[in-house]
Amino acid sequence: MSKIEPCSLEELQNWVNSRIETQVPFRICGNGSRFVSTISGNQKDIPGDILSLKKLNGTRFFDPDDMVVGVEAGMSIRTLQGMLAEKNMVLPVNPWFPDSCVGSVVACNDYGPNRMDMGGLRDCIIGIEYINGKGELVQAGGKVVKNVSGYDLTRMMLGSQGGLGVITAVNFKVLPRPVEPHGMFGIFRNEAWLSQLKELRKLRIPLNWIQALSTSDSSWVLGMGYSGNKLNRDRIEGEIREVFGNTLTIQPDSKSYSGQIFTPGEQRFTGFLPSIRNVWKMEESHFHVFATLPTEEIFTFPFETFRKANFKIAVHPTGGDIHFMHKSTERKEQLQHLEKIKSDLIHADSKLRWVSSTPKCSFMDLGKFGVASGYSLVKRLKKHLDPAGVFFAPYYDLEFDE
Amino acid sequence: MSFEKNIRSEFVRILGKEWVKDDQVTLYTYRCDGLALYTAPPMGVLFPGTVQELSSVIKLLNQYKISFVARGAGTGLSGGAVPQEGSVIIEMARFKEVHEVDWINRTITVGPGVINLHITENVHSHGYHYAPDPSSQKACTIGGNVAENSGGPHTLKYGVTVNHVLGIEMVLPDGELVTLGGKHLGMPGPDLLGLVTGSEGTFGIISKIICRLTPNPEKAVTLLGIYTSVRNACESVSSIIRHGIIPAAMEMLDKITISAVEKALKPGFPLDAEAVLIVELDGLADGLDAEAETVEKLLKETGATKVNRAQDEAERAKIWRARKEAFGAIGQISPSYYVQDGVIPRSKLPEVLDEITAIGKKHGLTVANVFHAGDGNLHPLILYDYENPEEVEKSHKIGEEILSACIRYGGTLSGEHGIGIEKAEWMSDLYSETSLANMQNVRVFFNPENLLNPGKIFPHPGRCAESKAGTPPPNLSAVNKTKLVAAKSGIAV
Repeated sequence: MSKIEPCSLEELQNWVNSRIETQVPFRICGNGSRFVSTISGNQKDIPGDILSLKKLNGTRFFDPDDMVVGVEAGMSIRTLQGMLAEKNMVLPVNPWFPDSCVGSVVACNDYGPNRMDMGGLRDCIIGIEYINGKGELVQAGGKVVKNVSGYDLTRMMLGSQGGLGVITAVNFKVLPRPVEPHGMFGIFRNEAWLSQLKELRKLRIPLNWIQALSTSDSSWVLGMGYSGNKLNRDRIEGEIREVFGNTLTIQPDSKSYSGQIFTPGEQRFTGFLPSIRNVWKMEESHFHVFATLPTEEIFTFPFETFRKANFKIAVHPTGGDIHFMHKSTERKEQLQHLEKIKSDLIHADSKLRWVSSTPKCSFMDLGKFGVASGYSLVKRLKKHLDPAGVFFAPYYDLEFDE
Repeated sequence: MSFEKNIRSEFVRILGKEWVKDDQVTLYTYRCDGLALYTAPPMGVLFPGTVQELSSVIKLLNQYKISFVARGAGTGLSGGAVPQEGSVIIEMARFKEVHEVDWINRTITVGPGVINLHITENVHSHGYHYAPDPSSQKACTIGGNVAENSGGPHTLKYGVTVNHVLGIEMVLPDGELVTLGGKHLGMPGPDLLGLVTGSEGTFGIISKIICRLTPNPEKAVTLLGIYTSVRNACESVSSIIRHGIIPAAMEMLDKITISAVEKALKPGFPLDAEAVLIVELDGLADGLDAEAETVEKLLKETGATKVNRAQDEAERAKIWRARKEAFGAIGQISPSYYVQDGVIPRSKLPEVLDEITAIGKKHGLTVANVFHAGDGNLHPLILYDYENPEEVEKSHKIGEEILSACIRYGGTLSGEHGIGIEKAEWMSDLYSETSLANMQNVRVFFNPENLLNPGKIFPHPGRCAESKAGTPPPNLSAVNKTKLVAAKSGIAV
């Protein structure tokens, strides 16, 4: 196995071209924060060469007045958010890990609790540069916030998992940081919060995020974030109390809740998973699968069964996702967990993804739950855009009846 | 030109006689879209009513290697639905069914022929709306909106079409039916839904769309800043954003446009103002007035001589009518106009607006401006007389120089109208040959024989070397460039 870390675009392009010429596949990693997640388990024919972009981490431009930023793919999310914070701005997305690089976050289309209010990556990506399957350095989109000039290849590369090209730089639209962010938090012994949230949703109050976390003693901590001026916040807090009563605590959301497992504040912009894992004492070798699903499915999902079976669960109810974690490390047990989750997902649009290293199970075990509709078209597109087959990505290799 | 007899009979077999048209009146009607700069009569027009019919006619067209173009309401402003001579138009107006409203997931599933505003009308009483609101929303269809990735005044806060479309069903150029996306935006894999949105009908014909519903704001406050200087109005825009406030909309009208809308619609805008800036804030009622006061203060600090606040819904509607019908109002002061759609970094607004005025003066024509100031999406309206060939020529030159300025200032050719035929030649000034070839390669995947909407987006082979690699783009000379009559169409943006 060899790891290549080009120091310049030219060096990178030359290396990719040499791979295309010889049709030798390679794996792409950024900072390696979750690198093993897609290649473990029963994946066959894993290429030995690893391309890391961590040294291509510069800033192309940052125009706070225009609320746009362009950076190279190897810059970490932590560095990017730090640079934006100096100008009171934020990239309003939910990366899973703070050390993930920008290229990886785009290639994996990370998202989490913010999505319901501030959108996901697809709502803030405005331009991209990448090396395509012909070894050419190409650009799409641009530096302005509104752009319909030509095909939107920025979004084609979003979620492409490294299979359609090597992302080298990304331009984003950014936002002012939320004004006076606050949160309301409470502890629940059962899943009653689900029906209360459903009622709250009918009121259509503008929350920034909602997160429910199962705790070590098999209860739940529910948090809801919001921002705005005092009058605005008073109104939101009043509406929440109408539904939940006076059991919830209010606090600025930059702090953790009761020193427990709930630390949604700044971490929702810089990688929210490590803090959750730490509290649950979960490691990368443990089972961790992520479901992305319509809101309806979340309100009807049988969480109680999983909670009682020692799963640790993070739910972003109207962001549309659930993280399932379990301390099992054996393939047989992990597969059983996976099948159980699959059997409880009813809506046709509910999908699954692996998040972290799972040495015994892999992406290939997800089957049809691991891919979006139109998958056969995606597979054909991959062959068309990567004729030499050098951009290794197991997403495009799943076999099942669609 | 009309259908050959044997082909016609096959279309009639699939659709029925009523829905296959190639009479002269039909061919004349469908020769252009909202931008009448380019016209070309189609071979005929087909009106499928079901996805099976749509797929069948597409398979037949593919079999005979006849090019074809999907069309919604024909309100597009870049010539995107203009047929190459010999192309067949597939009119999607019969796909106007609302299939499902899903309140829990906040989605509505509709046919592509549903008019944009009708989506909101279907759900408004339940507290929701469909957010993208192009000014032609009373006429334009959602299928066309997806094809062009349409915007509108309120996209500053709420986003454009791609941010509000969750899923589509689409027929590819060989008749294959595919679905992309679903009832949420978190699907794994490459975002092909986002790729198809804005592809100007060159990848497939959309037969069903799942749209996201947005809760209605509890309250909206509409402010009208009045200025003696366009530059000050631009500074107000930057000041509000710098303050961390993202209004629902920020729209600017210059002096010429003010005089036109006053003449046509009488919204009460002061005729001696150099510019007015419409700022709309929305959200929860609580706290909104305080935010409006902050904005009012910022407007005054940056040079607004007066700030009016709409006192009721009627006043608010009057202001918005003036904005949304501003293009039509220009018809009151000029026989015709030619509208551009370039985007620039918002901070460059003062310089670029000065340059646009100078370009107009240099060529001896007036250029009016009404635009989405919040996101830097310009709509310069070049006023000219279409009966005057010299002015027609000048309008072209002005348009070219404005687009050139947009690119030079780091912007782009189009923010919401699309490239179509109109701006295709400019694409090689925006992107490198390699990047354009890369886009063409994606087109070749979806549309390998270039039968679907040929002649759009990409420059003529002479300007884009890539087309040698794929199917050659169509010959633009086959399109009959005629006089500009867009102003007569009454289409607003």
